[in-house]
Amino acid sequence: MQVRRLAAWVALPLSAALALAACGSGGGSGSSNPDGVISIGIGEPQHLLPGNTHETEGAQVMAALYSPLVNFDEAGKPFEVAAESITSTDNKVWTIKLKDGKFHNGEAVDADSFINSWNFTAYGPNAQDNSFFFDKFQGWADLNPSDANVVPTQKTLSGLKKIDDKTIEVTLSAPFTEFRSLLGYTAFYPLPKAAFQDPAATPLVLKTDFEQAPIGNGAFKIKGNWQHDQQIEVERFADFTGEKPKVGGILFRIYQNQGAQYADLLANNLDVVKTIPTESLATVQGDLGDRFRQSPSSSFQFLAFPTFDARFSKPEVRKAISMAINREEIVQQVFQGSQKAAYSFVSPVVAGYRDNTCGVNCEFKPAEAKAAYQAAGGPSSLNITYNADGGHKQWVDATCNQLKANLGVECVGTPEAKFADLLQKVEDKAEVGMFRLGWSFDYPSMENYLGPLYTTDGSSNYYGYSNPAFDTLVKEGAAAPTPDDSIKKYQEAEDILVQDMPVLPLRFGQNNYGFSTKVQNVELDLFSRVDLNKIEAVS
Amino acid sequence: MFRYLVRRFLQMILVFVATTFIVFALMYATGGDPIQALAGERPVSEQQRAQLTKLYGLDQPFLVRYWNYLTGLLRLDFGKALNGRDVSEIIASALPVTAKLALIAIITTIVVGVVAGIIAGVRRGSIFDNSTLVLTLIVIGIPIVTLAPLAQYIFGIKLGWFPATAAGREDDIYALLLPGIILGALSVATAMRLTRASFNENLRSDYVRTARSKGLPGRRVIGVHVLRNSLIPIITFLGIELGALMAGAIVTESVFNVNGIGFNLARALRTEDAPLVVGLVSVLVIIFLVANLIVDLLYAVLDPRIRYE
Repeated sequence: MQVRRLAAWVALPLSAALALAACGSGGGSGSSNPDGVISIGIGEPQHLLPGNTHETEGAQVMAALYSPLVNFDEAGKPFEVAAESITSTDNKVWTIKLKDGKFHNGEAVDADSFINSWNFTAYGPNAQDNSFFFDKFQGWADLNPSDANVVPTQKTLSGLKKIDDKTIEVTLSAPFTEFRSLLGYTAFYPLPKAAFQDPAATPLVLKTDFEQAPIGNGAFKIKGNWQHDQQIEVERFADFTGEKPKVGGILFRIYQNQGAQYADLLANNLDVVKTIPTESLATVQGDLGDRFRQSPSSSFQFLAFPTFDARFSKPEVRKAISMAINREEIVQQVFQGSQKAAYSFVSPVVAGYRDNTCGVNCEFKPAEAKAAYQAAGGPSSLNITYNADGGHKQWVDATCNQLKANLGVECVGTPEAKFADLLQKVEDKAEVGMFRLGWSFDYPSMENYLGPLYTTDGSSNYYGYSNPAFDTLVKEGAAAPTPDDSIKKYQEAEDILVQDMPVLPLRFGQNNYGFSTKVQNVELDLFSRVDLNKIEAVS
Repeated sequence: MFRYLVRRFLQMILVFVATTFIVFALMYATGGDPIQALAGERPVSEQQRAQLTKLYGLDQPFLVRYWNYLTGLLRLDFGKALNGRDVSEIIASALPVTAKLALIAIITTIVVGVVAGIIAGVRRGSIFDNSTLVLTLIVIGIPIVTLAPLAQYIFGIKLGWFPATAAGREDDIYALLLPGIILGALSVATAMRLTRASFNENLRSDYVRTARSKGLPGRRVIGVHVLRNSLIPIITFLGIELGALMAGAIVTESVFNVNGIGFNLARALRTEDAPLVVGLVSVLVIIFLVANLIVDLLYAVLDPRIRYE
C-alpha cells in the first residue's frame, strides 16, 4: 500500500510538469541550415542491399543512399527521378531511359548497373527477399525453379536487355500498365560494378562486406561503416545530380525499442521518431504539441472468413457481422486514435482510393445487424483466431465483446502462438472461425491490394475466396491501355468485394511520428520513410 | 590447491556441455520455424527456404548440429545469427558494454550498500539504521520496470543530468552511469541487509570480546577482525550478483537502450534467433562458472580455516 501511495504522489507532479511543458512548445518555422546534420531514430536494419531490404528500417537508410527510378507525388502517382523516361506501346515491352548519374565511388550509373542489380536479386539461389518483385519479368520463372534444390539453368532474366549505355528494355511476361509504380521500391535500385566480385560473371557474386558500406547513387553517401546496433551516418554527396537535399548529413541512430527513441526525442537527443509508442500516445500531445503528426500509411487490417467454413458461406451473415462492429470505438479506445477505421478495401495512400466504398455494409447498425443475422441463420457462437505475438489480443477481444453485445452470440478470441501457426491451421482447414490478417503494399497500386489478396490464385489469398468476375476485372485492369483505365477496372473489382464481403475491412494504419525543435518540414512518404528531400535543419 | 582447480575445471566443462545442450535442444525443439520468423508475416519463397536451410544447417539431424556447434566453439566460432552477423562479433561488441555497466552497478552496491550496512551494523538501533531500513524497503518495493523509466524521465529528460539513453554512446561512461546506478540500486538493499546482519552477529562473537579485552583499538577490531569475517556472505552475494548482472539486466538495458548482453538476448528471443540465443547463453554460462570459482577461491583468502584439497 505504502508503495502505491508513493507512486501516486510521484505521478501527480509528473503530469503537472507535462502540462506545463505543453505550453512552451511551438512548431514555428526557423531559418533552415543547409549544412545541419539531423538524426533519425531507426531499428537495426536486417540488410542494406537493394535486393534484400524489405523492411522500413533498412528502406529508410537505403532511401538516403540510393536514388530510385521513380518517386511518387501526393496523389500516389509515379514521376521519374533517376529515369529520363519509362515508356511502352503495349504495356508489355518497356523502354527505360536513364539520366546521367554517378555512384559514390565515381562510377557512372548506366544500364548495366540496373541490369546487374536486378539479375542478382532475381536469381533464385541468391535467396534475396525482394526476388518476387521481379515475378512479372519475363524469365523470372527460369531463375526460380519450383524445386528449390535444383540449380537454375538460366543465370539472367531473359526479359532484360541493354539497348545502349543509357537504355534498358524490359519485357514482362504479361502486360502490366502500372509498371512504373512498381519501380519506386528499394528492389529496383542499381548496384555499381564495385559491389560484385566480378561484374562480368554469371551468376553475379556479391562482395561479402559490401553491405557494411553500401555504394549508392543517391543524395547521401555513407560515412565510414554501418555500426551495427549503434548508428549509420551519411553525408551529402557532392556529385549528386538530382534534387539536392536541404541538410548536410543524417545520423541514423539505431534503437531497439521505441520507448527509448521517444525518451531521447523528449531529451532533445534525437530529431525524428517515426513511430511514437502506443503507451505514450495519451501524453504525446502535451509532450510535443504540433510536433506530433499523423499521416496515412499503407497498412490494412482485416478479418477474413475461411470459405471452407460453411457457417460463413452466406454473404448476409458476413455483412451482418460487419455491421455489428463499431470500428470507430475500437480505434479510439484500443488504439488511442493511432489507426483509422477502414471503410474501403484499398488504402487511402494509393491512386484510385475511394472513401467509404463499403457503404452500408461497414456502417455500425447493431439493431439491423442482429435482425439480418438471425434472418440469415448466422452461427450462435463465433471465434476470432489471431497470432499472440503481435499485440492483437486487445482489439480482438474488444471486437468479440461488440459481437456478443450486438448480435447476442457467443464470441471468443483464440490465440495462436505465431502467425505461421495460424496460417498452418487455415491451410489444414481447422476450425479457426474468423481470423485476422494484415497487409501492406509492395508497390503503390490498387492492384497490390486486390490481386494478391482476392484473386483465385492470389499469393496471400489464404481464405480461398474466388469470383471469376473479380479475377477478370483485375486481369483487365493490369492490361488496360493507361493507368487511369486500370484504376477504373480495379474500382469495379472493389465493388464486387463489397457485394461478396470475403473479408471485413477494419482499420488503416497511420504513421504516428514526432520531431524535435531542431528540424522542420518533416514528412513521411508512402513507404513510411522520412522524406529526406524535404526535411530541413533549423539553425 | 592445484588438484582442486583441476577438479573444478573438469566439473565446469561438464556443466558447460550439459547446459548448452539443454539450451540448444530447447531453442531448436520449440517447433517454431526460424526461417518464417525471419520473414515475419510475409510468405517465404521456396528458394529462400532452401538457401537458408542449407546456410544454417537446419537439414541436418539435431545431434550433428549440436556437435558442429560444440566443435565450432573450440575454434571460437559461435556461428551466424539469423540476421547474417557473426555471433562472436555481436558478443565481442556487447560484452564490454555489459561489463562496464555491471562494474558501475557493483561499485554502487559496494559503496552504498556495504558501507551503509557496516555503519548500520555498528550503530544498531540508531536513526541511521532505522532510516536506511525504511529507504531500502522502498527501493525493494519498486519494481525495476517502474524504477528505470521513472529515473530516465526525471534525471534524463526533465533535469537533463544524464543522457536519456545510451543509444550510440556505449563508449561514453557518462551515458552508462544512470543505468548502472539504477541496476546497482536493486542490490544495494540486499547488500546492506546482509552486511548489517553479518556484522551484528560477528560483533557479539567471542573473538571480538577477546580482541577488545586485549585492548585493541575499536577501529582495528571492526576494520580488520569483524570486517574480514563478515565479508564471506557478502562476497558470495556479490559474486553471484555479478554473474546475474552480466547475464544482462534485460529491463534496464532495454529502457536505456544499452547495447549489451541483455539487450541482445531480449532481441534474439523476440526474433527467435536461435543461434544468437545459444551463443549468448554459452557465454553467460562461462561467466557464471568463472564467477563462482572466483567466489570459492576468495573464501580461502578471507578465512584461513577453509583449505582446498
